[in-house]
Amino acid sequence: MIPENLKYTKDHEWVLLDGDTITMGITNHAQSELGDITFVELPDLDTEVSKGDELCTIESVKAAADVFAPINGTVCTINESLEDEPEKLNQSPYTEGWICKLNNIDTKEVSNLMDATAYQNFIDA
Amino acid sequence: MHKTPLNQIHKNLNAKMVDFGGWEMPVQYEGIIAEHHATRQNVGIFDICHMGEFIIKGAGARDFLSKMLTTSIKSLKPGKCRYGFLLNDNGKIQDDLITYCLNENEFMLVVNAAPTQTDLQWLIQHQPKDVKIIDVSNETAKIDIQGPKSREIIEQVFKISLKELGYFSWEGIAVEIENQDIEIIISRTGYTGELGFELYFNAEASEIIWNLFTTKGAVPVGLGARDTLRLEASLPLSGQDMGIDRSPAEGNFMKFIRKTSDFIGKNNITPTSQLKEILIGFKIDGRRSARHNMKILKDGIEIGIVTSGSYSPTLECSIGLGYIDPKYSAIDTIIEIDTGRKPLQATISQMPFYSNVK
Repeated sequence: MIPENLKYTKDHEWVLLDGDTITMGITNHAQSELGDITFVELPDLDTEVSKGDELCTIESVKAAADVFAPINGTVCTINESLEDEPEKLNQSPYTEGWICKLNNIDTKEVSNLMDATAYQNFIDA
Repeated sequence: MHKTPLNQIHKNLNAKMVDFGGWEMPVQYEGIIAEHHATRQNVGIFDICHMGEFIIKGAGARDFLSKMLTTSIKSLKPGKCRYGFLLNDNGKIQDDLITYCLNENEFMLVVNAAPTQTDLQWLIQHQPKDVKIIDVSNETAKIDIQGPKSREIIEQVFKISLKELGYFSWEGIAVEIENQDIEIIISRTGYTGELGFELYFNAEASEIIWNLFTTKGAVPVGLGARDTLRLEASLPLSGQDMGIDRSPAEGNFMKFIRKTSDFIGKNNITPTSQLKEILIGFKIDGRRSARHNMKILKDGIEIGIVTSGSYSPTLECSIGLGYIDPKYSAIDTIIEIDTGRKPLQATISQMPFYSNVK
């Protein structure tokens, strides 16, 4: 099931808007495609990113994949627990497997992302 | 794309299927790490039907294989098998293979999937009149049963004892299953670094045999975990850790090269003293992996290349194989891997990283 309360990118990131920050991670579809995730290189705190910038790298047993910034912003919190437990990205990609939070954002950019239905159609296409 | 006789079974299990050298193969079922641990701790079952099998027979079979392979064939007795190489004229590795002595004048070669046809043509080019070469790849199924419980489960399934079957030995059994008489070669060999067996039989019995083992608890394991298992055991992958650009000496494979009598490529094998690169194993302190074709550096200077790299589920760190300048190859030497981003620090390690075959 794709959570209804989140927004999605074509690179398979999810975004949760909470006031003037967003929380983000990778979707269930993304983790399933990657397989067992063994390593997450988290972004540095206070990094300013533009939409589409490489934010961090995720490695699975077989492959490495980049995670991109879904919107413009500044990295204000990172999920440090992923360093020791990267498997959280497989087990609960939408909750415990969140990657980081961004502030200094434009909330309009969030509303331009795909909703759950549009994302479902995107991965089914 | 080629399909093995177990293709539908994999799809029914919702395996993730990939193109592996022209074969549609399962890379994983439940997950690579779970399948890896199942093999190390219990027993895994692998569809290896994509590999090639040739029967070589006739009065001249033994002499022919002695000429074609690096393996010691003259002393190979029925019930035994040996690992070795097919070299090209330049002394480089065309493929690695196992030779089974079936009878005094009859042998089975088991070769890798991708080079099967190249290997076959190479053999046919050199075929003498008193030797028959029969490609039985399509009608031969190969299923690997690997793990500490592998002996027990095979003994249960076929009601036999395998206590006397030594490493690199095989025995033939005939069993009646669902009114079919099935002949099976059970070989105490494998590609996981674990106690294990490889089973060869008629492809028509593939699903029956597979189901006999899975209903007794053998866990289906895909090519993903097959790769992490073999890497922990430092077993080279043909075409990746060895190949036509590599001499057997570079990979420290001279123990599989016989010293007596000639074979194709023998005189062109690069002597160990003249090697520019040799195979090393390395460990990385952490979970980030080196990957195939990344450069290996020492103090910022390129000294070699990574041929295999992965997270090791058993060691819980990253490991890899690569070729480097021999002068930097001492155990415990610190090297760097150029990932294109932050370089990774690695330490040259003893190989294998893991072994529990006995």
